[in-house]
Amino acid sequence: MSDVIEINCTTGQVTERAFTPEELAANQQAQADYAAKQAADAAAAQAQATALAATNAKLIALGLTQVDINNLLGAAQNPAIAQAALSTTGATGATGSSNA
Amino acid sequence: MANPTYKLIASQVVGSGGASSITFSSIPQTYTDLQVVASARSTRTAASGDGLDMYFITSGGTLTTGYTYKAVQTDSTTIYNTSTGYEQGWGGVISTNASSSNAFGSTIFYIPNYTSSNQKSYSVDSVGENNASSGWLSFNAALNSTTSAITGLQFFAGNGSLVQYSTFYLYGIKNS
Repeated sequence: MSDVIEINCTTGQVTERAFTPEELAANQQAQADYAAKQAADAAAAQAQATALAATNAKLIALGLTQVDINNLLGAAQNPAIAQAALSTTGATGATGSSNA
Repeated sequence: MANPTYKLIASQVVGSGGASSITFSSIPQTYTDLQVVASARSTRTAASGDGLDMYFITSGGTLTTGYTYKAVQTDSTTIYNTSTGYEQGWGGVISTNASSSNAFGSTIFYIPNYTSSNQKSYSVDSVGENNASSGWLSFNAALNSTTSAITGLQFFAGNGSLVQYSTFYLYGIKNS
C-alpha cells in the first residue's frame, strides 16, 4: 500500500511514495484527534441521555404520563404545531422560538 | 470552451492495495476557488463512519496545521453540534469497511480564495453511505490562519487507509 499518491497538478505526473517525517507525524496526530473527538461525542451523547432520563423521571413523579411527556417533546420540536394546538383550545402563551 | 469557469484540474482513483493519503501538489494559482469532489471508503472496521481529513499545503510542501471548525453531524440517531480545533482540517464523514459492501461516502470540499493573503476558510458537506438504519452525514465550516497561498491539498482517512476505487476530483473555479 502506498503512503502517499501524489498528483502534480502542473505536470500531471503521479508519484507513489512513503510519508515524509512531517506527514507521518501529522497523520498520527490526526488519527489521535479523531479518536478523541469520537470519545467526546459519545460522552456528550451519554450525558444528554442521562439528563433527559432524569428529567423524564421528575415529570412522571409529578403525575404526567409518558404520552403527556412525548406530546410535550413533540411540541417543543415543532413550535408552529404547538401554537396551532393552543389556539384551537383557546389557550395562549409562548411556545418558544419559532424559527421553523 | 475558451475560458472555462469550472475546470477539472486533476483526478485520482486509488489502485489495488489502497493508499494512506492522496495529495494534489503544484496546484495552478490561476483560479479563484477550488472544489474537491471525493468518493471514498476507509479500511476502518470499528464503525460505519470515518473522518476524511485534509491539510492545506503551502509553498515548499509545508503542511498547514491548526484548524478550527463548526460542524453539524448526525449518525441518524443523535445530532452532534461540535466546535473545536484540530491539527488537521476535519472534512466530515466517509463510509468504512463496516458499512454496506461497496458503499462509498460522498464529500465535497469548497475552498474559496485559495491564493489570497488572507486566512483560509473552507466548507464541506458529506455523507457516509450505508444501506442500514444508521448512516452519517456532516456539514462543516472551517478556518485556518495561514495567509500563504495554497499550493497543494492532502487527504486521508481519520482511522484507516483509503480503499481501492476511492476517487478524488480537483476542480478550479474562476469568474471568467
